[in-house]
Amino acid sequence: MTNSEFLVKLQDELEEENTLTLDTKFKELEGYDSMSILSIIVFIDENFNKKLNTQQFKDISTIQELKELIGLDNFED
Amino acid sequence: MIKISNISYYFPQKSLSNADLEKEFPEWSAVKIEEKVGIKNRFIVDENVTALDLAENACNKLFENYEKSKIDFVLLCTQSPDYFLPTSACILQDKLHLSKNIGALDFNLGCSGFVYGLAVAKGLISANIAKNVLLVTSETYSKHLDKKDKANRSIFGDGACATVVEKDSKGFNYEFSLGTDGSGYDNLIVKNGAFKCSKNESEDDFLYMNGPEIFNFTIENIPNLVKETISNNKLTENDIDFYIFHQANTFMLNYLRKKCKISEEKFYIDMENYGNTVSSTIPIALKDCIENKLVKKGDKILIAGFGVGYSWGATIIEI
Repeated sequence: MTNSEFLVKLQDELEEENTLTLDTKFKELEGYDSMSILSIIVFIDENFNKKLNTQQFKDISTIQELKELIGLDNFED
Repeated sequence: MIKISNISYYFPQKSLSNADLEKEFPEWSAVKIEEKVGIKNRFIVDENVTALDLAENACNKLFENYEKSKIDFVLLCTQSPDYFLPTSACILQDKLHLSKNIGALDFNLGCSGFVYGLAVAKGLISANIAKNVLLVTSETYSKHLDKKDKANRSIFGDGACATVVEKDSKGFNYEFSLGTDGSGYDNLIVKNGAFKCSKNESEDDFLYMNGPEIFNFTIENIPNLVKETISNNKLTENDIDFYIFHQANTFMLNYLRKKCKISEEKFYIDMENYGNTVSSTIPIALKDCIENKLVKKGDKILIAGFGVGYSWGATIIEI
């Protein structure tokens, strides 16, 4: 998956109106709430066939950090 | 060979709607609750009403259409018993004026409780220990919740369901698939108040649920559970007419449906009016499906329960 595909798909899964960037902080997203992590779990399972480590997710705040959590080798750029 | 001959459910009087929750928690929008969780209303017991009271009411409702003297075993599934001892099912025998020549026991399971109860009932019947088992699931998770816990108060509802499982040579005989993983024990737990940890007036006195971890657990285990149940019964997906999963939350159910590659019309989701009633969600859903003619005689229905424990199980039934 490319970086731009990742940002668009994630925006879609989170049902966000505004475009996401790697620096976007989750907590700053308008619609972000306790259910959003479930959407992220779905996103990672569907697109990367991986399980989100929810413990590690607690410690991150940006989308770049989420990319790193998924593993940068899963991305083309 | 067994058959499910009667199902009756019972809810407490008091409703807790999304509008009620919004009044109590102004930052919690009623529209959002409905949209994300799929629940409009749940029923909550008064302080002086217990799961055993709900169980008694569900059973009396069932006995309007079933002769109670036929019951020779009572299985009561609850995680909110009246006492540490004696067994609530024994008290239920007395309250219902059932025969004294019967067996009765409680078992402590949540979301997987109905499937396990059916497995035990089938075992009792197959071993000629019982012929007509009264399987009751009854829960009052509201009593385990902190008043400030808006998330869990939005999800869980109280209620009871009574089901009669009978020996029947013309009934059905399907295999069960069961699973257990105790490493997930603390992702859905009431930590304090029993014998490991005493109450200490902290949040540990109340129910804690790690929703995302439980979601991970279901994604990892349920698709295989469904596959295994179908193949253990020497069937294919095309043979299954309908699926009733434990009604945990609509977002999770929708994703599980997709992962299990089940079509929308074969998959039941309805949490609107009762919320997550734990061990009663499957039999309540089954009763509603029968009443609303979503299922018909001869249909093969795959039921799957999963959650607290972790515990999971599935089987196929016919109505």
